[in-house]
Amino acid sequence: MNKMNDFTSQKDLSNAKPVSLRFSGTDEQMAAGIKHGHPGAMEALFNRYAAHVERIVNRLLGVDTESADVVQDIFVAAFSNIHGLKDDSAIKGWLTSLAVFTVRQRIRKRVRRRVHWIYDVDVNETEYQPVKPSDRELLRLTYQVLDAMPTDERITFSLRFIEGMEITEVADVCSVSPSTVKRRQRRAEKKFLALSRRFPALIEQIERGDRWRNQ
Amino acid sequence: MNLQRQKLTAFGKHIGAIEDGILASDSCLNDVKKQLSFMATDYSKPRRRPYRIVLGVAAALVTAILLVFFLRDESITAEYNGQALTGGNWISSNDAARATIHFSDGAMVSLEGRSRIRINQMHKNGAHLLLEAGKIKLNVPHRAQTAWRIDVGPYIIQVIGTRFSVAWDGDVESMELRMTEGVVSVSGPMITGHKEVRSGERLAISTQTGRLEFLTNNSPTTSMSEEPAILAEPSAVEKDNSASIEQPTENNSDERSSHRQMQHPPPLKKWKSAAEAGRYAESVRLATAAGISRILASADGADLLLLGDAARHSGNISLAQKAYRTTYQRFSGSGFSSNAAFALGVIAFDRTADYGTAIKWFSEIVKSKRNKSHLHREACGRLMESYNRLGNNSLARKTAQQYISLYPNGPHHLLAEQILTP
Repeated sequence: MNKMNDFTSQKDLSNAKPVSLRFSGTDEQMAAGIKHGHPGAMEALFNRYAAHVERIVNRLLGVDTESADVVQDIFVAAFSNIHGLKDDSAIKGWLTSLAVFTVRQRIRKRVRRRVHWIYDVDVNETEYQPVKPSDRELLRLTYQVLDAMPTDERITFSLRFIEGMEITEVADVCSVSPSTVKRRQRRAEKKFLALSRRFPALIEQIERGDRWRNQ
Repeated sequence: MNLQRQKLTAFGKHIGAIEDGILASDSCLNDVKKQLSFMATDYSKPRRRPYRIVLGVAAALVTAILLVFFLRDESITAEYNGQALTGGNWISSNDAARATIHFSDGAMVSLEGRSRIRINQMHKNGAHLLLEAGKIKLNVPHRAQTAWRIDVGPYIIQVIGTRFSVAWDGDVESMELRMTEGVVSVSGPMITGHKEVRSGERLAISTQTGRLEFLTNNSPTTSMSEEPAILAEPSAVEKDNSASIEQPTENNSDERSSHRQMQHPPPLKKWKSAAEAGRYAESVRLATAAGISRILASADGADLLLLGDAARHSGNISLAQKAYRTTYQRFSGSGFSSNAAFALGVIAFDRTADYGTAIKWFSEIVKSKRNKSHLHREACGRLMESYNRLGNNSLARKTAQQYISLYPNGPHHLLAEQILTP
């Protein structure tokens, strides 16, 4: 029996509920699918870009137990406000902008509430494959320094140096001009180095420069 | 690119690589995906009557994004006895007075007996609480976006709408969760992945004795010491769960074998090997199975410090503190004792910003007069920093002067100079 006969009828397909369909398509098709309520498209957005969003969140906040809440908030915002996306093909950049704005708000709230986020404990609360204690200490010190920096400079530093974004990319996701990014970067470099001098272990690692490649 | 920027670029890449290594094995995405509902119709709002936007495309997008984050800044609020609560507040009750906290999303948290909780954070979909000791009852209304979290010792309970009670005894490291209505997801030591606990079910775990009980009906007379360790057959509910309950031993092949192993715990040395290899979570599990009390009573100073470090690095802060305090008491006056005091000071400083307690521990080392040792130098620096953070300027200046005289080129010398600058 030709199984294809079961699915070739246009009438059958038009009555079929799309709920169980897995979505596949370009970013533009996916964004359009979400706008029209295709549940597979929403899940596809998550499957396609959740790892990217999680990485951006962790670059900006550090590996943190708050990350799950933040990632969830970003996707809830994306699903709820997809109609604000004008260029469907630019959904990845739009999602990255949402991530940066969400984390920015989170960082500013932390500063206002004077909550002291202890990076060491947050990292250690997760069960993950062992990270060398020296690497863990390095991460802790790095984010302790970043916590002491102004929010915009901290975000610029993380996106430029830790995530490795180009200046134009940072400008796009932060919705500022490239010259503003350059200004913030200059201030961020100066501030990061000045604050790092409080921690000899950290400044020593920075001074080692590209000798990291051989580690 | 100038040299300084080159170095920062290389440094940043290294930090990114470390983070990527962590995320590769400990991503939060599975948990997030479970919380999101891709079938929910309230996300999508198909425009039946599209209308023209007069503003330019760029201005409209920026406006939409700004509005989203302005409106989404709202979080739930909480009040207790007519007073508004904020993130970071501790609330406690005693035998005479029960405490009930009311949240703006309709949730209620009641503290029973001598209990103490902390509101870590409130957000628009719920709150993140820490149960430090005692017992609480929660009633959280279910909504599509409800996302509450309760930290109970090393356990995490994710709540999406339910009524239940949970108790934590830090001295014996035991948790008991009784579900009245709804379902919660529990993760932590002795549980693989997540364990869902539903209405009418009870989960009781003691990481210290290695005992875990999961019962499908609540009996008011049931207690951990009376009940058998594990049900022989998984219940229908357990079979539906994607996660499984991990036996507190290395051999999970069958229940009788596991029960034998609980009567004859693994040798004490296995937890040490795991700790020395950097497998901290595994080390704590093995130490728990071997019997924490046995280890605390019999191990030498080096092993106790190792246990404390393994516990601290795997996030079990209460066990870490217990191990360090035992070291400090049993080996008083020795180098082990000083190292334990330093570790306790670091936990107080870094973990809870409890600078008063940190001062107490760092002072123990400073006054021991083991000058010029690495530990003494670090303790002096941290002591100065603690006084500075507490705002005790006179003692901060005094310790800064001592630090500069003893360690003019030490890692805290810049801070000392800053404190001494008028």
